[in-house]
Amino acid sequence: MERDRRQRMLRRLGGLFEQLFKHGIRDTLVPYDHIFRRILVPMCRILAWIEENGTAKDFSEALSIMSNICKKRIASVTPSSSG
Amino acid sequence: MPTVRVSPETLRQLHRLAGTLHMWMEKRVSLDETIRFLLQSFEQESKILPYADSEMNFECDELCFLDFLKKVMEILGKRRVILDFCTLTIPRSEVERSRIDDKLCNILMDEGVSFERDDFVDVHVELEVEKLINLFRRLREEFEWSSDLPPMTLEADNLTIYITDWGCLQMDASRIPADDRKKLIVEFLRAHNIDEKTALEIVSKLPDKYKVVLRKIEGIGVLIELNDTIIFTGGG
Repeated sequence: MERDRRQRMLRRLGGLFEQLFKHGIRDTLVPYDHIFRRILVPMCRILAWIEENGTAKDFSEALSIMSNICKKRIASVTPSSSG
Repeated sequence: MPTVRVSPETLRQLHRLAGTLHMWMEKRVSLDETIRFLLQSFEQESKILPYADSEMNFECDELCFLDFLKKVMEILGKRRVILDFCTLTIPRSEVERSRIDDKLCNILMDEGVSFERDDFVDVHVELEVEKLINLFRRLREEFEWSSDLPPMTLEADNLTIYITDWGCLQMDASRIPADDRKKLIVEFLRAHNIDEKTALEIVSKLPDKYKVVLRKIEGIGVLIELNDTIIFTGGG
């Protein structure tokens, strides 16, 4: 499978993971199945695709993309201990 | 006690929420308590600090979405964008997806949009905005968007716009000039029947840095959530 396509999949995975965070702390209600159908299912499909078609390096890159998003998002949403 | 008239659908949703509250609180919950819970949740201050100060989230009325999208591109000065999606991510089974892919490929060919297809349809193509709008109009007519089509992105220069679902636009606006951000908000409000004077008054009060969610809620109107606090409801 050509590298360009795998890279595209990794970018899509990163975008969806970001969206999961953004939707996760929304104050107002979203339709009950929106996150499941429009974010989680797509993420799972891409992860499965990478597992099947990607290289070990792609899989490690996927984890690294997700981990970097976690670091950025968690650092900015965690209330300080005094708060 | 005054009587409140609600539609059968609202009543169904209220009963459903009452059922959820019943489970959480492990006691019977009346509809009156359910409504009070909803009202309180609007007044509650967020316990989570804002995670970014530049997110813009537009949840547009279904009918004016394409006009609004066109305006967004105009305000941002984008004449061409890269449309990116793959049908691997649609929330359907493989058999259903294959049927959707056949139909989608025909439409893409009709509209002159290039794509790759093996187990699924993969689109990563630069399009004129006009062509994009025409494609979206056609897809909207031919498919049940939320179930048959995947989340998509539009990319231009350093900006990525996420279209999670029909009508939902989300972007990191940190690189968008402050004036253009305000124009986007005014345009959204105008598209949802808020008069220009009110729209301009709202944006004139915006702080320098903010995250904003604009939503159209059926039966309520437009709701603006600024840095996790609702600052405006209006229109209809």
